[in-house]
Formats: sequence, structure tokens, C-alpha cells
Amino acid sequence: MEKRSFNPEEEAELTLKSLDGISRADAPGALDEKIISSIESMRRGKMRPAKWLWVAGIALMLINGAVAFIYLSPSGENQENTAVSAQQSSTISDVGSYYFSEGGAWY
Amino acid sequence: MEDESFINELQSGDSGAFRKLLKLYRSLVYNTCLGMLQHAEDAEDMTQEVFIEVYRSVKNFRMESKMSTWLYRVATNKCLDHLRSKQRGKRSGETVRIDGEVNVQIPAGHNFSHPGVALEQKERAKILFAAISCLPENQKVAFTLAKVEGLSYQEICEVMQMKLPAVESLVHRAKQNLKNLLKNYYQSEK
Repeated sequence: MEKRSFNPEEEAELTLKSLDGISRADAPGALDEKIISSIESMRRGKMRPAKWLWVAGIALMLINGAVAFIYLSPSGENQENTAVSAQQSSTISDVGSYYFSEGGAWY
Repeated sequence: MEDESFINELQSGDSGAFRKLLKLYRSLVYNTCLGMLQHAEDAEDMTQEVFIEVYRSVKNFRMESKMSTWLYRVATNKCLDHLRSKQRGKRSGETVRIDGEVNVQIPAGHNFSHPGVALEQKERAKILFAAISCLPENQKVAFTLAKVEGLSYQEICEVMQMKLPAVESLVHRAKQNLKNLLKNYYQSEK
């Protein structure tokens, strides 16, 4: 049998054609689920701060409301203070009316 | 061209639409990454990164090009970034002349076998892939898209956003460089 002589140029040409007719490599089946799960976890990671911000915001509003209700409602000591100041204002108005009824002169 | 409603579903974050996209294009992306990176595990990781990037930026997809063109573009850019970061770690003796002619030797121990190559061509294809890894970036992308993905020059123009003569020239120079690299390789093997 005749042995073919080794020609580097010819070998290079043949090697250059070795990808002719190449078929597409299939991606591993598990890759889909891997991609989906990493996207899902990314999405969850994205959702978490926003969800917590909503919860924290609502909680803060409720606390604010409660504090305002306790400190501004007229009950207990506050109610007494309110009554005192009402009494004081009525006393002052009495003094005023006395002053005018006596012709505006102080004794 | 993809259905506009499908793109709209993707843009609204519909998970069913994303699964469909994966099913349609996972092999396209994986095969491109495999051809570029020449490493099965790296190609898997890169495919994952490409789809995550697609998920993040699909809102900016303006339907001016085909979805496949956009995916090819994202995949090749990601692969080039990966190759650059890998290259940064090790200085090779590669030199590329101003006209794009490569002055380098095919690295020894390069043993990538593409699963889509016919059995009788496996050994030659291993040497060719090793030679492709020595090409300058643009030539590598153009040649891989043409020969591994089987894209037409027109499609490569759209992916690489270049004019047709530029792509023709890139593929031509890639072939010339590969021929020289392979000739030198076989001469040293003689």
C-alpha cells in the first residue's frame, strides 16, 4: 500500500475544513431549571426589601397614630389642665366685664 | 421576527414567556458559549449568566433586531469579557500585528472536543479549536459565528454591528491566520 507523504500545508487545509457539517451542541437538560431557579431567587431578593419597606411603613404609621392618640386626647391629667385653663379664661373674662361695668376705673 | 406579544410578555416579567425563551434559545446560547470558551462547564455557567442578563435587560429590547441576534450579541460579549478576565491572570507570548496577523504558536495540551463534530474529524477539530483560541477577539467572534453557529455574513454583521466588507475581511483574515498557525503546527510535528 502506498503511503501518503505528509504535507503540512495540505494538513492545514484539511484541518480548516474539519468544522464543516458541525451540528449544534445541546445544552444540558438541567440547565433550564438552574437558570429558572437563579432568576426566581434573584426576583425574590428583589421583592424582599420592597415588601419589608411596606410593612415597616405601615407599622410606623400605626405607632405614630397611637402616640398621637395617647398624648393629644383630653383625658386624665390633660383633661384637668384643660378644665383649669377654661376656668382661668372665664375668670379673666369676669374681670373684664367688672371693669367695664364700673365705668372703666380700677379701684 | 418574534411575535410582538411574546416580547411584551417577556418585558412584563411573565415567567411562562421566559421559560419559552429558554426552551427556544438555550442551545443557541450554549453552543455559542461553547464555541467561544471551549470549555463545557464554563459554557454552562456563561449560558446562565447570559439568560440572567437577558432577564434584567429585556425591558430595553426595542425589537429593532431579531431576538436571536440580540442573544448572540449578549453571549459573545459576555464570553469575551470572561476570556479577557481569564487572560489578565496569565501573560501569554501572543503578539498580534497591526494588520491582525497572529504571531503565536498553538498551545500544547489544548484538548477541547466539540460534541457536534463528526467522529472522523474529532482530532483535527481539536487542533483547529486550539488555533481559534489564538485569534484576535474580533476574528474569533466572526469565525466562530460563521463556522460553529453557521451564521451568514449578513447575520454576523447584525450581531457584531459592523458593515459587510468589515466582516468579510475579518473572516478572511481569520482563515489566513488559522492556515498559518496550522501549517506551523504541522511543520513542527513533522
